Amino acid sequence: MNVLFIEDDPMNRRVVADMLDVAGARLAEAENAEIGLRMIDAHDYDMALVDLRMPGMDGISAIREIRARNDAKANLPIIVVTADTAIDLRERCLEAGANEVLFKPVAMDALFEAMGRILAGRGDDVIL
Amino acid sequence: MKRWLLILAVTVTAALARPPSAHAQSAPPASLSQVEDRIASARAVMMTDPARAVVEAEAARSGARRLKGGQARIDLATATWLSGEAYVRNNQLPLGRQRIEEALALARKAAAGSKLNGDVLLSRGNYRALTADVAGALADFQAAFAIYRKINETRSEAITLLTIATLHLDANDFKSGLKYVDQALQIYQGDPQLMVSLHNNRGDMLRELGRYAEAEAEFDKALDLAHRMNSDALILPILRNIARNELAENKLAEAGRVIDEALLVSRRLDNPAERTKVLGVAAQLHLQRRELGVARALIEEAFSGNIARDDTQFWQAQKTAYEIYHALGDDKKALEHLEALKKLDDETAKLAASTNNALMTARFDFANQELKISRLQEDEAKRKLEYERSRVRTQQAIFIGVGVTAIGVVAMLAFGIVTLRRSRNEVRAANIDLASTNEALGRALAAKTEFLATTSHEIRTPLNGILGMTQVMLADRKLDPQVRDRIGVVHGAGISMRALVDDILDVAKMETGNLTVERAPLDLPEMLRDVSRLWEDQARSKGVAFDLDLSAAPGRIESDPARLRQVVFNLLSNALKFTPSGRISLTAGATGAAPDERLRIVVRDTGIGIPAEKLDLIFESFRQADAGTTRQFGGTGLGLAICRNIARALGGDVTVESVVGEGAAFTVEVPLVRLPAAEAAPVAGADEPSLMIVDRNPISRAMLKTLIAARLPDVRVAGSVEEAQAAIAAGWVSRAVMDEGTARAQDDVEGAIRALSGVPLTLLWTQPGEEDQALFSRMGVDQLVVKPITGSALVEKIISARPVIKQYIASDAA
Repeated sequence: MNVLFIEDDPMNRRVVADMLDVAGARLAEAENAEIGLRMIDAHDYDMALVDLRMPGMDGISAIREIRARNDAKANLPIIVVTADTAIDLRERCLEAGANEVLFKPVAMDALFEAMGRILAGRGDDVIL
Repeated sequence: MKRWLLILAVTVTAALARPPSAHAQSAPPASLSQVEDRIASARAVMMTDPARAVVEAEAARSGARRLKGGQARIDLATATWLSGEAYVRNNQLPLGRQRIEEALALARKAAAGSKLNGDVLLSRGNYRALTADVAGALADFQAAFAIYRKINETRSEAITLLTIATLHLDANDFKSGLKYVDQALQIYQGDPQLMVSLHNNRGDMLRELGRYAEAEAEFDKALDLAHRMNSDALILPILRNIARNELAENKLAEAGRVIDEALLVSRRLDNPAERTKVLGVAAQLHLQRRELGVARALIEEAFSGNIARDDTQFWQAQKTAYEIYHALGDDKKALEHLEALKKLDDETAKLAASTNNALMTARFDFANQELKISRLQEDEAKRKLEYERSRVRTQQAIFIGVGVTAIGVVAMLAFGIVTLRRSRNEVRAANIDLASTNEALGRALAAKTEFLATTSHEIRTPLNGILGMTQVMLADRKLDPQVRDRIGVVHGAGISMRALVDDILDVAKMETGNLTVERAPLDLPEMLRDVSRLWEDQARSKGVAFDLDLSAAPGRIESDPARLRQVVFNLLSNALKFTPSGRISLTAGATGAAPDERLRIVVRDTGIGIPAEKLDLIFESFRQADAGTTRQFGGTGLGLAICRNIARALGGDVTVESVVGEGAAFTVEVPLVRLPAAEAAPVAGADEPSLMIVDRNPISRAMLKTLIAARLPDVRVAGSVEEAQAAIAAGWVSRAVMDEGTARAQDDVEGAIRALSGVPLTLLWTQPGEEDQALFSRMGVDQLVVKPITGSALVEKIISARPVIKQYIASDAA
């Protein structure tokens, strides 16, 4: 499984890369939203993880851009991974089109659980 | 307090009254317009018949709940707010609070920053002021004011300022009160009812400050408006105020004329309490004229009515009575009234002191917070660009905020000491634009919240590194046990730190009035059992017994599941922390009868206990009974403050009883809303074995679980063959589903299959060869599903195999 992580903090990228390694998934990394969007153009990912606070375009705008696409990639499963705990943040992310919101520090079980759940939700598209 | 209520009543009438509309219907409203009719009815009867207003608002609520769309959500918030107001007016305070809190959450969701949002905040502030939570009230008023200002609702701004003014009036801080009233008058000059209230209050404060001539001018303006509105209920208190003002200046003839008019109005009005007060003023007039006989007759008449004599609104009348009897030499009667007066004096002094204290504290807390912010901000100064920007913003706000605080303190000192230089100080004070001060206060509060959010963010990020890596390391099955143990310690410390950051964030939310609660169905016994499970083990390992008594617990209820759980969790954590030996018990039950039925959860321990004088202290943030406690037992002292705030937000409270050395009992009481039991879902109990997914890959495990759980009631998972084997041995499994990768992770596939041979087995395999198939057949594998296959096809196959039917499905991948 190929996962893209859009996140400016290298340590957070490393942590999630190691976590996904436990589950046998590969992580591609983008250090900002602009790069992330270009990588989505160029490659096929099974899922994207997106941080919210980044220099340049923020995570919510990036999610909106992905959802506004005209191709199948508009349905890319997206999980927000954030250290922000502002009120209603979760609702705002879901409204923008995220499938799930996880708060840092991320529990590994919760990450896998969310990934599995979202992938299962794609019905006939799920290939095992 | 009565004075406060009176002013409140006037302002809130102004805020709520709308022309009455559609007559009350009995059927529940089914359309938006019907819901809005009921809302209008609730508004119309709010002042005259709050019980009826409750019925109307509740009907609108249940109607709005069933409707969809933005307007329905706004109507739901409005109806909930009105219901809360009506409950408060009807003296059902806990229900009122619960509704107002709900309304606030709804308003924030449906229309954050709207007038409605401001109105609900104002209501909550009023409620908080009524229950002596002055600091909370002030925060709400500030927040409401900020909203009104943003949307340019000048009338509501004026009401809010008047409300803040009355808070200062309660604190006997007439000068600050006056400033707020003045500012309200500058902003808004419309609604006559509000204008009456503003002028009357302004006069009241001026009189208290000894500025009688100015006071009289204000009362005259109020009276003029009240006459034009032809409202005896408004005219009478103003006439009384004028009379008292004249008496204070010893203008007896003028006072006499006003009192005659007031007596006339009071006869028309037929209100015993008002009549007592007017007669009291009349008696005072005759006392000042030294006509003691008449004075005595009047004061006797004043107290002959059916009134509650110990009410603070009769303070003035009691004082007059004492002076009359004292002048007459009737010591027995004089003493009687003196004692009553003393009692009322104590009460008002206590109220003034506590209100004043709270206002002072609110300001000083604020100052301290700002200092802390600036210090910490400096340490962190060289961070990222965005962070730099927010720092500059914060410092601007701090600069203004510190200015505001200084002004507040100066104003207070000036009031206490520098009476001679009063006029000069006032000129200076008048030059300060209170609107901008208010805005600055709001900005500084926002800066504090932003600071806490930023700090929390900054701590969470490194914590993510620590906890992330410990989790990755602990996931390695081949880890050396000693190393695993050490990493476990690091992991545990990280978890504690995360809890701490969460607690601090909760406290920040409470301080800014942003702690909101939700309403959702909750299986209470299930939740309590679940929370207990976490602490039972820890208690056992400490040698402390743990009792859980749910025999009287309600089943399904409506509450905030996560928040209620947090309360019980914190109380149990607390109990265990302070109980070295003995037992801890958790009991749940109900008290009272519907609709005032309450849920009661008690956590009892046999720990060190809390000294009586510290019982109140332990609910404050960062406070434990004893500074040594922190060193000995750890903890931040935030848990109980959070518990109390949550319980109050839910419309209840947490209380404690304790004997030092014997233990403590914490009791949570919140309004109980019972729900009908859930339809018997076909949930497999412990006695019905379930399907088990054996997959070592956590992502595909979760995926399979979600897919199958949508069709089968109870699905278990195992991450390894060993884990699955244990569950099978325990009789929990009726069928196992194993993935190829998991089987191959064992040294031999055969061994893995054999380990699960106790139950029918489904194998998921990619392109099995002929000898593979022969092996599975020989080993009695019940079902073979060939990958790749779509999720839904896989689930169909597994479900169709669920009754134990031998079938091989080869090479029919979708």
